[in-house]
Amino acid sequence: MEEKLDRDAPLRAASANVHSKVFDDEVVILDMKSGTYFSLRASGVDVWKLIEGHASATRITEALGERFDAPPEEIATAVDSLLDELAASALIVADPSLDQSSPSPGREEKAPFTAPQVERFTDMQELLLLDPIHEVDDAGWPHTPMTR
Amino acid sequence: MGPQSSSEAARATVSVADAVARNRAAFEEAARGRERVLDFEVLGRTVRLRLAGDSLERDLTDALRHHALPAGASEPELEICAWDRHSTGVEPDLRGVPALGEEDPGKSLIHSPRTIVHGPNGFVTVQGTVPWAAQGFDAGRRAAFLWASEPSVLGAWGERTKPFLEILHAWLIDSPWQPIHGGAVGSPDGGVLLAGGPGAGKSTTVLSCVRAGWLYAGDDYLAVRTSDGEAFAANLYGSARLCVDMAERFSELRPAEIGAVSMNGIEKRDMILSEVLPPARFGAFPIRAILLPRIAGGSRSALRPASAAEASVAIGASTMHLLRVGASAAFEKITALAGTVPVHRLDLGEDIDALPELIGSEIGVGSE
Repeated sequence: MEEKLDRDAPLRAASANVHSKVFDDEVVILDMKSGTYFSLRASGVDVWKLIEGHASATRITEALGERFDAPPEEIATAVDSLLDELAASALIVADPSLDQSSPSPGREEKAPFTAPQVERFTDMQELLLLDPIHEVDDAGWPHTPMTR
Repeated sequence: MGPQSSSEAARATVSVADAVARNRAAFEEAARGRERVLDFEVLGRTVRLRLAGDSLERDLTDALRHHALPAGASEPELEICAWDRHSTGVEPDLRGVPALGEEDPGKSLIHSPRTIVHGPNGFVTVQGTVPWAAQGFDAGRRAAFLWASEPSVLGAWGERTKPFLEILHAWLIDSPWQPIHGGAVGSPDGGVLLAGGPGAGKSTTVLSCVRAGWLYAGDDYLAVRTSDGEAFAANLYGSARLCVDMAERFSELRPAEIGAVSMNGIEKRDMILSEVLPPARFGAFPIRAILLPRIAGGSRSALRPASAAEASVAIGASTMHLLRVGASAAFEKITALAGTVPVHRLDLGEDIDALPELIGSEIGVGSE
């Protein structure tokens, strides 16, 4: 059973294996460890940008409430559902040691809310998982780099 | 030297630089009295290949020969030593490199367990729990090695059509260039990059444009870079891979065929295009658009808009699994490229001879 995220702890990408790129209306996330690509669209883009700023689940919900025209419960449910999925996919973790950034203020006119859309692509998964990899530091095998 | 047990491996310590240096020393022994030196120009830089005799020369240089330089004309920026056990009797020195994984008789040669050690300054890989190939790269010395148990394993491994791909990738990590899986055709003024998984129609599109006189930058692997808001494609290899059912439609390329491979149930013909194209037809050019082909059926091909994210996934999904070092840099370069130029889906119909005109008129690129 996955542990639920601490809603008040700052969030971040789970490890150095997680790479992401924000385009205009879509975020591409690659998890090299599992070999899976993810695409986030609609309000999922806003959520990912806030995660990059180390916002907590609570702050993300508040920030989306300021930006989008929808009942608070609808936004909270959509945010929780997305964050649970990202955490279950080992893309994000809560990290109480981080400082939270302040989300940028909402627009004067709220935009219509569209729930986050997540798509996953597993095309390279089989290829990536074929080979055992041993990451080593300058001292060589079996000395592995400190976990980031 | 035989394979190690996992407990021996766990006790061993090896640095990538030491492992590469020891194997280059093994090469010196293998090459004594029969060394061959060949220089190539790769992305404007000299790469020197040192061979122990001529047993690996064909398999390792067929796809690079159109980049050949007079040997010794300039100092190399990368030196690769290559030898095989069959002709020299010399083993690689894999002491301390862990050999993990179990042999699986049901798997093909290319899927044999592979052990990889990589660090901040290079990598060493070993193919098979009983090693049948190994390679490594030391970024500090810009030095690499490649060993094969016998020449025939290079073809099964895919090295004949994309020799030294992992070494070249590791060598280019700190440069603007990134080797990717894809195709590119155009003219000195601009061209298109084609991306997608096996069987998507990249090669069909590329070769239909080559037939129409376009410059060829690549069909399977090529290099790309992005700078100052412009993206560029450049040729690495003179090789191409075409689905066997399409090979009949490109009968003029038959003299270039060197063999067949089966990947994910799709049979493909390997070709060395320098057999049928002059060196001037291989080149580099600005990328004006990324096309994501797919076999759509129907009579006519068509272009429709797609997103930078789709392009990132299409390029990355078939590229990143090969690039076991520098993943972060590769991801940055690939996504930067995808965000720089327009992206289109290319729905491929039966009219493959019309593709050069369609792409040329819609994207504004084409032959000289």
